Amino acid sequence: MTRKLTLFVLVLAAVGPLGSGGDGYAVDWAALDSTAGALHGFPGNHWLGTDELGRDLWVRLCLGLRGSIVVGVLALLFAALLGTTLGALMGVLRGVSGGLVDRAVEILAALPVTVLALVVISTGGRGLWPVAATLGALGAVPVARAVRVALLAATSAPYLAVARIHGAGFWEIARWSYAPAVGAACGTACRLLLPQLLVAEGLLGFLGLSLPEPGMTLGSLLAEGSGRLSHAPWAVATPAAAVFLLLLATRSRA
Amino acid sequence: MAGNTARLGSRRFAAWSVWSVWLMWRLAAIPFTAFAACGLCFLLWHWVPGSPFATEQLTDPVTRDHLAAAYGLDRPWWVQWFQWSEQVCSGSFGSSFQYRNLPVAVLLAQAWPTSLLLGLLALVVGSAMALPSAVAVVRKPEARIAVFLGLLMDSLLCVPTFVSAPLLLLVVASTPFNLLADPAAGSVVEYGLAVLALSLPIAAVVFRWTCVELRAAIGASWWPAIAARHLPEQRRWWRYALGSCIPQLTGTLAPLAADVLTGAMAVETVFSLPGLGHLLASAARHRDTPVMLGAMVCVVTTVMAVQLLADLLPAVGSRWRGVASPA
Repeated sequence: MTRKLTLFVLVLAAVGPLGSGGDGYAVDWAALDSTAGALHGFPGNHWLGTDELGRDLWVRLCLGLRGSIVVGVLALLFAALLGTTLGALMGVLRGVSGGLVDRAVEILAALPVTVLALVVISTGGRGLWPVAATLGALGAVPVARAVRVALLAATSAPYLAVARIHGAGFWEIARWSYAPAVGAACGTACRLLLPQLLVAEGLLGFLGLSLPEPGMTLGSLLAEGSGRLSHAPWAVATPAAAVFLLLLATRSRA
Repeated sequence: MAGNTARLGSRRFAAWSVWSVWLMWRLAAIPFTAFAACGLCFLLWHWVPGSPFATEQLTDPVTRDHLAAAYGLDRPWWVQWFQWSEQVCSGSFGSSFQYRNLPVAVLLAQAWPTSLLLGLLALVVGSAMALPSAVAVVRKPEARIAVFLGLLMDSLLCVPTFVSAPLLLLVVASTPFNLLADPAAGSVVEYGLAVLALSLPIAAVVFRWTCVELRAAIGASWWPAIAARHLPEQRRWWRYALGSCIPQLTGTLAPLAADVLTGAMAVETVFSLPGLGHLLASAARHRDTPVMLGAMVCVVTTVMAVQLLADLLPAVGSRWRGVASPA
């Protein structure tokens, strides 16, 4: 069920825009003329109608879903890379330097990620890479903690002494013992992190601080739709349903 | 006898001194962490390219330079940091870029209580939804209502505040009795909806943890002794099972404080409530860095204070737990 839902969301994001023209910025003048700029739902050419500029809402919804997934997955990749590196450093370093890295990560863990991201993105500028990198850097903390614990457990495993007696070198032990432990910990932490990153990105999009135009995410579509509640409720309801499906797919996998 | 009393007194004194040292360390950690968080923000703010005055309206570089000089942004970053730290210590937090000549402390003093009240009400409403649902689900897991409640609460985890806030507004606006149109009742209803929107994710998390704790409680060794007392079922579940969970729940739910303050940004934006989230979101859009840093201090202080309270409550509640679980 979870796999089918994930597949459905991915297919919707990948090929959904093709179903109704494919361009989220193409203006349908006929649709615009027929209602004098007002929103109208469910006519033949446009599955969810058009907005006040004559742009197809279905296409925009699928493109928004795609944007949210792309930002979320990129942020997750950043978090996995940075978190694994930090976690490995925390697991290996001892003494003052190890303590400093530990304290820095503890301080970072006490802070609300979205608020920090808001501060950085508001000055650094919006865009795919800044948003993904900021969210990834701030989301790396749980990954680093999980990797550190796994690495500490792996390095103190009793069978390593036997392996060393039998002549196993560092790289051999790293390959057969450390890497699987770190990989499993990183995978679990990333599965738990992905929904949080998607929610953080959605909130940033809702506040107008995620992808700039022409990019769009579900958060920005929700913010757009919130201004049309009285005459086009589906402009809010459909992105809301898409956020729900996306989070359901990622949370149930977690 | 006198020797025993003296030994007991000295043990109590030792325990209290350990407690007070721990409490002092934790209290001292709050401003330190808030300062560290702001230092991090400050560094990130200086490292990332961009300027608060690099807007579409200000295209003239000379004007931008003049503005930067007027706000002291042309100085080295460490000078700016010390300047800002001095302003924080004096309690003013500097001046806002967006609201000219208005100290950030005034803005924060207006916004902080609104967010605190909103968060507190959301916590109360969320717990009021979650605790009875958790008791119902753990008490009779096969009942239809329990299955429905379980599904509902799990699905609430997938409805963040930036989704629930406009949806609730939509639902209330589309009912035949549109209370939002009434100027007198409208503001009350909107505030109620804001609290409800913020409380839904809280309810989902509290529900999950309560279910876990309740299952642990009914699996504990003292539960058969309670069951053997022939007490009314309601009393067994509410007083003993749920009562024994509360201290642990406060500890596990402390991280929710950060989520509540983050979620408040969307809720306060949708319902136009003049809280910390609304202020922060507005400052982020206008690149008002002093306000953002000031708001960051407030957020971090609140989160750390809640975490300290959550750490204290289980220890204080151990006595209560002893009463609640008599076996």
